[in-house]
Amino acid sequence: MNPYFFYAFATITVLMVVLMILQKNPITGAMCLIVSFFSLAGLYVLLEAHFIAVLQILVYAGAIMVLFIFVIMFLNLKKEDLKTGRRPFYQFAALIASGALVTFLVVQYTKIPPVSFPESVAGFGTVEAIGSLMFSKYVIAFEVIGLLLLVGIIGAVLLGKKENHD
Amino acid sequence: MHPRSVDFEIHMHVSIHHYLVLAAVLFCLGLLGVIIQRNILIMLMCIEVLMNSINLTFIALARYYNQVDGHLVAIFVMAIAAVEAAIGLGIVISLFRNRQSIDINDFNSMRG
Amino acid sequence: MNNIESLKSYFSSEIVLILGLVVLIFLSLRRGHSDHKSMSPASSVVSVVTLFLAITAALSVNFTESQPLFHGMIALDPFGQFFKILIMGTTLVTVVFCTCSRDLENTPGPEFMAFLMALCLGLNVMCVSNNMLMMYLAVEMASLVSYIMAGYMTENKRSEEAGLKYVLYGGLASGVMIFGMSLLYGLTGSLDLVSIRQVVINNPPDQLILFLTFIMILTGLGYKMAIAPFHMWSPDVYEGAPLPVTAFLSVASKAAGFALTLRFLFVAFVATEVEGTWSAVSAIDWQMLVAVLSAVTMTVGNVLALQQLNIKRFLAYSSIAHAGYMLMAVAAQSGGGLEGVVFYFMVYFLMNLGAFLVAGVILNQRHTEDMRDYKGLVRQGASGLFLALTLSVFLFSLTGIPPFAGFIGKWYVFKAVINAGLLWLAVIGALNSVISLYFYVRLIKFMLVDSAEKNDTIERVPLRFASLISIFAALTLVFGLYFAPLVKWTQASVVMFR
Repeated sequence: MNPYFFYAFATITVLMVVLMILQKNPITGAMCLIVSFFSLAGLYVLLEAHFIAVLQILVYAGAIMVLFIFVIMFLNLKKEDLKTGRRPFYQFAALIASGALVTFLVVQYTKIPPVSFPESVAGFGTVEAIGSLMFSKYVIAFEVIGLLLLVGIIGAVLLGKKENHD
Repeated sequence: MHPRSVDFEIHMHVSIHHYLVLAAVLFCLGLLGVIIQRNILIMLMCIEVLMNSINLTFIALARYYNQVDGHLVAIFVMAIAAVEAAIGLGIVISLFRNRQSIDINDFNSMRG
Repeated sequence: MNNIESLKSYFSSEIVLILGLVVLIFLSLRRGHSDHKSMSPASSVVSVVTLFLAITAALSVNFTESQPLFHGMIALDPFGQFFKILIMGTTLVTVVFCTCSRDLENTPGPEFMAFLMALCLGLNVMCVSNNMLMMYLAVEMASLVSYIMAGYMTENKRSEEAGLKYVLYGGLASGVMIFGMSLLYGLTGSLDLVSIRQVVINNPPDQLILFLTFIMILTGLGYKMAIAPFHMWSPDVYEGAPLPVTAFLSVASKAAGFALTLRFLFVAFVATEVEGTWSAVSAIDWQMLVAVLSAVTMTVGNVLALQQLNIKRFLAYSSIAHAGYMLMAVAAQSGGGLEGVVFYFMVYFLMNLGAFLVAGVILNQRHTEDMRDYKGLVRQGASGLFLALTLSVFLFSLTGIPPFAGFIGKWYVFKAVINAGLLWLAVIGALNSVISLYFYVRLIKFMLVDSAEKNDTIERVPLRFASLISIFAALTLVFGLYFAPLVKWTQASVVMFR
């Protein structure tokens, strides 16, 4: 069963991301991205990262993308705001460069024989395992990120709150 | 058992490579998106895709090494992605109020 | 060392900064009269006291040997301490700079100062992080706060644009960096720099993929150091951001970027040390890579600085060029090279901040960033004379002319490079110094030789600025002649936890 799920989720993820980067309308792009985040959560479940899978849905699909959609609604974009026309040179170069990077990585990976995953240890990926590591070894990182979130909230409020001085 | 079916079994087995290649593809799509898009909002979304490809790599590797450390990194990356989105969108809102545009090509008053 | 012990004994300056940050946030809640004032005195006083205490705390930490803190997430060593003190010193100067800067007239003081504290904290953590996760978090903390500060003045269109460019480039660069880190984790199975070195030495992974990983991580680090070809954001951000923020970014942010890069290179990717010279791990010989990057960086910085007439952009490109000189010393891969970088940063701190302070005074009075408006500055009253002479001192020092401190810095760097046998790099560096002579001297000529179109005198320089500028100029002169104490401090500060 496992391989079929992997290929299904992988296809959905990639397809949705491709659709998103070709979009002109941000709201459609956001919807594509939400679908791809859900299928990524499925992949995390396959990797026995159950807690991260839940977080993926709650934080990414639930909070970050809602923030995006909220801002899109808030801006109230009109048709003429979504101009067409691209930067052809960049596009071409970027396509080649990223294609080259993917091929390179794939070639490099295939040099090593495919290694299947080992049996997971008991309690792998549970809230307990993650929590005990987070509050022992990584507690300093946890504190730093807490501070960063605090500063980020204040900053976002200040940037969004505009006082027109002109 | 017939040898060919065994072969097929091995081929169908999902290894760490599959996940790493998928992550690399997502990463490059994210990069590509930031470069070719002109819409700032979608550019910010592409950066989110970038972050997700990183999470996928870390989680696959965590499973491979049987270490939970990779999951921890994924959690921190998510938190960072949230802050980055919030700040990026804050800047987009204030820009849009002044310029009525979300096209990156309209923001090049500084040159040289 | 476990968490509680590390927190108690060696993390006091960070704790002081966090307390200051919290106090400032509470101050910002006390709205009303501070709303329309530029920089409320209370917030400046709190920040100055906080930084003063934090620097004292950092100076008073004494430890007999370098050791890991917080289960190896943070390294405690003289190298990190040095850069922390340098960064907090820059922040202190920036706070004073902010208190009378027209650029920041309509910004609410407490929040701005709180961001400055948070940025300082992020940069501090960058200097001491010894684990890839900490490296990433610190880089993001510093970048995210910088985005806010660059896009701060919402009524200034350039500022917002700077913020936007910063977010997009920064998100991309740090994304590439953490992707590289994830691959490095895959290759070595560890996030800790010390264990990564052991794996890379004992069973080196596939060279090509390791090289790609290395390049990816270097992209993110290069972005923080603003070295070519990852420098594109910096002129726009430097021009668009408020002047004190630009001054801060050009010194502190660069210093933290260099500290992080040096730690990454010299902890995770060097194999053996023989008489003060390290050799890179056999899997990646990064000496040539760094040497090429440094040559490109200083050439790009200097050549593009030639045509700048905006003082902020001019200083931005000049700071890119200086990053190139410092990178040259990194390429030397020796103890002498490390000393060169550390020494150069002390000197760079003095001369670059000094130049920004003078530019700040002129911006306050003349509302101009155009260098042609500096013409005839020397004849515009006593203040004009003072500004013209001190700015000339800083510019001569930036060029690297003998009696000034900048020369000593350059001398150390070139000595290390020549000792390492990279003669071609030294030649490129020397050629670049000649190019830089042209545009630094052009500005000096504007001030001292040319005459102004209209002659109005410069008003009295505020005391805070005048004293800071005189101290910096005096130190630039003194350290050019008597630099033994600096050398002593430098030699003590290159010890890294490995």
